[in-house]
Amino acid sequence: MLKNLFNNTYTYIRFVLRKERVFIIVWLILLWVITIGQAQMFGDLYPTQADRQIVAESMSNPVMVAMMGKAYGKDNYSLGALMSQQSLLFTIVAVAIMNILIVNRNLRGDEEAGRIELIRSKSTGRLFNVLATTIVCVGINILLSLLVGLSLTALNIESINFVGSMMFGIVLGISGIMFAAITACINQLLTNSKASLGFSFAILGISYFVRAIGDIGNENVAVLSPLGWIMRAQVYVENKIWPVILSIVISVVFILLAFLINSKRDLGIGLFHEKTGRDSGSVFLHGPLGLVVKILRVEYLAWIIAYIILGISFGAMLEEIRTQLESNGLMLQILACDSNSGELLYQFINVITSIFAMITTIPVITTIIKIREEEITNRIECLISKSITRRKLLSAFLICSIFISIVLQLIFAVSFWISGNQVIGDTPFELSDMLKAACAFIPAIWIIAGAAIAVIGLIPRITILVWAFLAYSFFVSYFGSMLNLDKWMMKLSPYVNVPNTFADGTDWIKLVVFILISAILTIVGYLGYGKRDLQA
Amino acid sequence: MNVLNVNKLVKQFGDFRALNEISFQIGKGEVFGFIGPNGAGKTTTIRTLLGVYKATSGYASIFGKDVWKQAEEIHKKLAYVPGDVNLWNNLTGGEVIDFFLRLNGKQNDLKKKELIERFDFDPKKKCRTYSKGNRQKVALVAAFASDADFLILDEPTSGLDPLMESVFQECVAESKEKGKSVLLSSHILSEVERLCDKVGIIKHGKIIETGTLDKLRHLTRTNVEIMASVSATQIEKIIGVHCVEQKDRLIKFQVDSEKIGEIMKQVSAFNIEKIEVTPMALEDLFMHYYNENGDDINVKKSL
Repeated sequence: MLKNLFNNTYTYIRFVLRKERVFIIVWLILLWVITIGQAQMFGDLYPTQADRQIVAESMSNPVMVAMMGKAYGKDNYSLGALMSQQSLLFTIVAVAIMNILIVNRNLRGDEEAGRIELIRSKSTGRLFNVLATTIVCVGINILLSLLVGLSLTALNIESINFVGSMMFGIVLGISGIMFAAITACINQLLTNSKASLGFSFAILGISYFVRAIGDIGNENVAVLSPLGWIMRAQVYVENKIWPVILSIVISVVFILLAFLINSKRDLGIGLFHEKTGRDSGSVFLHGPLGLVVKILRVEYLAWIIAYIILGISFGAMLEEIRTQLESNGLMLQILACDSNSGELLYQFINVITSIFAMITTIPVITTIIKIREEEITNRIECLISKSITRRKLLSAFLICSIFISIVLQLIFAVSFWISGNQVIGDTPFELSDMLKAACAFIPAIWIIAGAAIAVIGLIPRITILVWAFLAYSFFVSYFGSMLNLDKWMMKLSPYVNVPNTFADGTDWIKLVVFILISAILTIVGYLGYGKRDLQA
Repeated sequence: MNVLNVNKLVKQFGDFRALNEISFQIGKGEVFGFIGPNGAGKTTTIRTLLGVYKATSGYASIFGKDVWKQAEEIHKKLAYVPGDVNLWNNLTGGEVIDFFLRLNGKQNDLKKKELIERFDFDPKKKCRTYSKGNRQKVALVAAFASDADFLILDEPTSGLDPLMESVFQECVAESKEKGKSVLLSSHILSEVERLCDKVGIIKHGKIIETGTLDKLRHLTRTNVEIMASVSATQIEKIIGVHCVEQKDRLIKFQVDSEKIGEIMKQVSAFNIEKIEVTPMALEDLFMHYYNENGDDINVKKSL
C-alpha cells in the first residue's frame, strides 16, 4: 500500500530540487544576507546601551508595535532584543512568502498544468507530489534555520548569543513550514492555482493584521494569529519554547490534512467542484472593459471587504493608541508638542494611511500585470484579432487599476474615520482631513502603476521588477529612518515624498508633479506596447 | 481584388529569420491551404497577418489595407481560430462566444445557437472544465457565427473527433458558398485536399510552392500498377517511367504525368490483366516537400 502511495517520491524530490534550484538558492542567499546584514547594521547604528534604550522607548509606540511587533526586554534592551523586534517579523513574512510561492507552484500549479498527470502515468505513487514537496520545504526551512542560527552566532556580537540565534533561526524555519503546510492544504481545496495563491497570501495578510491589532490592544487576539504566537517566543529575550511547539503541532496537523484530502480527491480538481454558469454573455460583457471587469470582479470585491474591515478595526484602536502615545514622554519631546494637541495622533494616522496606500498598490499592480498574462497564455491573439486596438485593450486594464486605487483609498479613509471618530472624543478629526490624507497618496500609487505599464510596454520579460520596486518602497518606509539611509535612497520611493496633509497641508505642486510622472511613464508604456511583438 | 496580398514578407527575431520574403495571394471566395512541416513559419505568418507581430520588412494587406497600420478596420471583418485555444477560466463557453461576437459588432443569436448544437457542446460550463476539443469548438463557433469575410484558421480541428471534423468541413463549404475567403493552416492533408482550392507550402520560412492541387499533381507523377505479361525490365526501358517495383506478378511504377498518354500507348501493347492508375497521393506529394533531400521524386518547377 505504501508503494502505491509513495513510490518514486525520492526520484521526484531530486527532480524538484533540480527544477527549483535557482529559486531556492536565490531566496536562501537573500534571506541569509538580509539577516546577517541587519545584525551588523544594528550593531553599528546603536553601539551603546544608551542608544538602544532610546530606541526601546520609540519602539514601544503603537505604530511600531503594529508594524513590527512588541518590544520585549525593554528594561535592558540588548542588541538581540532590538533585532528581534525590528527584523524578525518581516523576515518571517519573507520566509512565509517564499514557502507559499514554492508550494503553490509545485502542488496546484503543476497539477493544473497537467504535469502531475503526466508523471502519474509513470510508476509513481498517488501521493508522491505532496510528500515530495513537503520534504523539500521542510528541508529548505531547516537549512535556513541552521544557516541563520549558526551565522548569527558566528558574528560574535554581544547578546547575539548561541541560544538566541538558534531560536531566531528556528522561529524562521518553523514559520516557513507552517505556512507551507497551510498552503498545501489550500491547494487541496481549490481547483485554480491563481485562486489558491491568492487565498494563501490572504491568510498571511490576515495573520499579519490580526497580530497587529492584538499587539496594540488585546493579548488574546494576538495569539489567534500564527505570526502573533510565534513572536511570543521573545527571541533573544526569554526564548520561550511553547510557540515553537505549537507551530510544530499546527504544521503537522495541516500537513496530515493535506495528505488526507489529497488521497481522497480526484486529480485535477479540488474538493470544491466547479459550478456551471450562464449560457450567454450578460449585457455588461461588452468590449474589453466588460471582459476585464468580469475577470477582476471577485478579486476587487475581496479587497473592498477587507479594507472596510481593516479600516474599521484600525480606527477603533485610535483611542488606545492616543493614550499610549501621550504617555510616551519621549515621543512628545521629539515632536515638541504637548499632549493635548492631536499632532501625535495625526502623525500616527498619516503613517497608517501611507502603509495602506502601499497595500492598495498591490491590486493596482496585479490588475495591470494581467495584460501580460493574456500575452503569456496567448489569449491576446484572440482579442487582437477582433477590432480592438492594443491601446483600447491596455486602457481597459488601466481604467480598472485607477478605479481600484481611488476606491480602496476612499473606503479606507471613510471606514477608518467612522470608527476612529467615535472613539476619539474631543480631538478634532474631520472626515475631510482623512479623505485629503488618503487621496494625497493616490498619485504616488499611480507612479508605480505607470512604471508597471512602462515595463510591460518596453521590456515585458522583467515585469517582476515592478514588484521589486514596491518591495523597495515598503522597505524604505519601514526601515529607512532607522537604518539612517541616505536621503536620496529614501526619496526613490514615491510614498516617502507624499506630503503630510495633516501637518503641512496639501502641496498641490508635488501632487501635480507625481501625476505628470505617472502620465509620462504610462505614455511611454503605451507607445512601447503599440510597437512591439506580442509574445510570451 | 485579392482578399489577401502578401509580398516579400520578412520577419526576423534577432538573428533568426523566421519568414524569408514570402509572397502569396488569396482571392475572394477562395479556400487557401497553408501547409508545411513543424516550425516552418505558418503560425509566425498568421501572427504577422493579425498584427500581433510587426513585420521586419515587406508588405501584407487584407481587404487592401495594411495589416499592421489598419489592423482594427481589417479585424471588423476577420475571424480567427488559433492553434492552441486558451480561454478565460472563469467564463463559460457561451459567455466567451457572445463576447467575441460582440467585439465585432453584430451578434447573430440564431446562427450561434445552431452552431452550438451542431458542434454539440454545453455552453454553460466554465472554460476551465473544457477539454481541448471543446475549447476549439468555442473558438470555431465564434468564428463561423460571425459575419467575417475572411477566416484565418490555424490547425482548427486538431482536437476534434471525426464527426466534428465533418461538421467543420460543412461550415467551411458553407462559408465558401457565401463568398467568404479562408486561410486554412493544417496538418490533416485529407482535410486540405477536400476543402482547399489552392495550396501554399512553406518550409524554413520560404514558400516553396503554391498552386492549385491539380497543378501540383500535374507537376508530379502518377502511380500505375499493372498485372500483365511483361517483365519489370521491359517497363524500365520506357522513357518517363521511374521507380519500378515488382511484387509477384504486380508491377508498380511511377510515370511523369505529362507523358502518361504515350506510356499508356506502349503499356497497352502488353496483355493487361489488371491496371490501376492513381494520382500521386497527397501525402507522398507533401512528404517530398517536407523532406530534406527531395531527390526520390522528380518534381519540376514550372511557371
